Amino acid sequence: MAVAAPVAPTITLPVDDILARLLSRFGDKILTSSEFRGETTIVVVSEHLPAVAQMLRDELGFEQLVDITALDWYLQAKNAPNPGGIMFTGGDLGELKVPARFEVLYHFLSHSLNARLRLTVLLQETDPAVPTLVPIYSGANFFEREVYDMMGIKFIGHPFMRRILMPDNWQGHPHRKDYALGYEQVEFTHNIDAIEALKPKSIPPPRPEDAIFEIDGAPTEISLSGGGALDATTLALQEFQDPSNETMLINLGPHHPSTHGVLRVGMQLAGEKVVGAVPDIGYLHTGIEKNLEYKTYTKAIALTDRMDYLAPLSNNLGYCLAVERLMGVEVPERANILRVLLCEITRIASHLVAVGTNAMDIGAVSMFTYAFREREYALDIFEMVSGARMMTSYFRIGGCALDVPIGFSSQVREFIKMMYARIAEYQALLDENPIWLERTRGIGEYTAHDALQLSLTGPLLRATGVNWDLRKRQPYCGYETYDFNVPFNTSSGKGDIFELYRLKILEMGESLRIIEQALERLSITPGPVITTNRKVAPPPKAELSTSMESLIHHFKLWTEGFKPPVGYVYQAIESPRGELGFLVSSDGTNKPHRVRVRTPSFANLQLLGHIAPGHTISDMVGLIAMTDIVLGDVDR
Amino acid sequence: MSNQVIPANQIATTQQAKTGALGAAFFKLEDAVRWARTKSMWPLLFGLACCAIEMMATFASHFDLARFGMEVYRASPRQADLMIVAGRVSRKMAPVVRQLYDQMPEPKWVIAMGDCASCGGVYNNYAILQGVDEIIPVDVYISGCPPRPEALMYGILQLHEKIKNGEPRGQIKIENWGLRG
Ligand code: SF4
Repeated sequence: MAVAAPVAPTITLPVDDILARLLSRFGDKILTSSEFRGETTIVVVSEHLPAVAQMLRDELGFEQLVDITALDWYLQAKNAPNPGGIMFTGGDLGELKVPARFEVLYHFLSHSLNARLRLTVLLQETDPAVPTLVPIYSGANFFEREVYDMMGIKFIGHPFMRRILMPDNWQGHPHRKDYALGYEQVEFTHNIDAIEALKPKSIPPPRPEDAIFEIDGAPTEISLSGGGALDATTLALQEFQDPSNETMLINLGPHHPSTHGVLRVGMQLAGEKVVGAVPDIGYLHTGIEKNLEYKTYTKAIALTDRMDYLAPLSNNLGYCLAVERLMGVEVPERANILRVLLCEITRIASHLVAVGTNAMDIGAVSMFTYAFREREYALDIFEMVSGARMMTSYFRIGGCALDVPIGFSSQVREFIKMMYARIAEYQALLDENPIWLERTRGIGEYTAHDALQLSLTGPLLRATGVNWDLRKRQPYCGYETYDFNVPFNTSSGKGDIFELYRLKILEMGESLRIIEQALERLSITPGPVITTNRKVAPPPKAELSTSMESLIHHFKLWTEGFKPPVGYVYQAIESPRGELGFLVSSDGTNKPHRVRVRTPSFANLQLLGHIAPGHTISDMVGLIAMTDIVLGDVDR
Repeated sequence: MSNQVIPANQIATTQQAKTGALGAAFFKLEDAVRWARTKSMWPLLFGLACCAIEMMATFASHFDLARFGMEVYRASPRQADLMIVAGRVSRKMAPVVRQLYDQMPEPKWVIAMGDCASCGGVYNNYAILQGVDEIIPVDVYISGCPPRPEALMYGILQLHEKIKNGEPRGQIKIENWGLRG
């Protein structure tokens, strides 16, 4: 069967206009563009990158830098006829002569135009380096450090160019193609000794002087561009520079129970006041992105669950949608309804943990037990459809693994009924609780400008009054046909812990409304839950004994998988924490060339260093809870 | 009051407790100590990854680990005698886990919860320790990704059995790990 036409982009990019303006300014000596699956990529010569980015931000309305990542075309560069690597060809605006091995990708998002744009920079094998974008978009900070850590590409002018995920003394850059996955051999009794001998034997034990993370000028680490430094930071800075003020370094985590995982924060204190806080991450770095390159497209789904482990189904969905875009596969209606339904239950389950642990950290322990009580019901539903409580791996490329069992609807209906009542209970518990209000209102305030600059997404962005939700603005899975509201801060324009709590409670209510509608549609929408495109989804088991062709398809799919066309797509969805984006790059083989996951928690964590200064140390756990990070999502 | 010896399983009826006549029970001291150890194990409150969420679910309302006298998680390693390694241990985290283990007072036990902590799980790669027993001795391994709360409880009960029977502790793979450099 022929592969269906590529899914049309859901938004119309004013690309021609943007391109024309960029061209008239910079000329085709420094840039060219190409298009694939409705996504525009502009290739820029590296020296001119900051100027182009500046223009994108100031004149063309791209408020947010969503992601920075890099691809390594090691094999292609090695086999290229010209010295120095592959040559970029096939641009729409003419050919750029840049031999390259690495490609750095910048994803920009414009709220006002509702458009996305990708800039890429091609770099040679030796000493790859690009100018930093931190002065233009502060959110580039963590992303650039990650690219440096994982790919070994330097960002010239970055104020804190150090490893972010791997230990400081790590050798090599793991995401490079010439870096081995490690441990790939399977151990058997006959070779276990040989493999054992190769395993690293001594990880240096921690020394006392490592126990406290150095804060190299942390309070001034990076100031927000455009609007000057945050008030709290300035305040704290003055206090810090006052010589009569003695400061102290305190280490929080990485095993501290209130850091929501293995987050470590190096804090500089003046008495009870925090003057600087630097998150130190990577303690849960799992190498999932690297592992994904060694799986076929279908098998990779199981690994995506384990990143944001509070919202596994959202991860499955993001990945499947990306591969579907790459392959140009249509998903049946019933599968889309199921996807929406289950992802919204995921959102509720995830927000329950967020609200429950946030309240517990501040002292309202009973909220935690309530939240976990209700979460069990959501897990029961996941178990019902997939057999697993948490790691469902239920979505497949082209649909869902199987149809829901009998009794599903009534169970979900009960869940909805119960949740409405329970949400009211939470509100009764917390909304007017004076201690809760005292400890959350006005704590950790930040503005929309900060949020946009720091690449924040999801509730953290909406808490500052920015009405941006991908389900509404760039809908997927048919979200545009559901009736729901996006709660955002309409009053103060400033986010704080309480506002985040309030939004999450409201979002749970909206999710319930979506679930109700999806349930109704499910009952009247019969049909398969997975595409009939036999190139990506296996035929039903029953067909195997009657049709030779089905047998071949089945065999091919399970032994080899499928081979998408060469190219990359970026697909973003609104996970409970914000924009979850999957960049899937294919080199035409049956395994991804690279899967980059733009996780919301990673970017959202950047907020912590900016809001912490000026607060007391007892507020720190509240602030960490507010950012609602999941360390699996941060570190991957 | 008579000097009558009351069997251990009847020692605390209300009447006797009220009168203070608790009688006597005979044990080997060793057995009594082991029995006592299983009744108030205090796990170290720390989690690593997805498995930690299931561990939280285990001591939250629905599964209620308090039934085994074990809901008192201690945030300080100095007050804990059981380490539940709930999740994958990265090479960056390994020294920290080891230090926590070293800080726990003897006697102490370790449960490796989940495939990752037991053997590296699905992550056969550069970043993850292929089983936490590379750096600390493990007494009970629980399979599952993540193990269900029931599985964790079963693992804990298995550990209790092990302690009661006086079985030896687990083995560590890297001998010189604790040596300070
Ligand atoms: S065993 Fe599975 S659930 Fe547990 S930490 Fe590993 S990946 Fe997560």
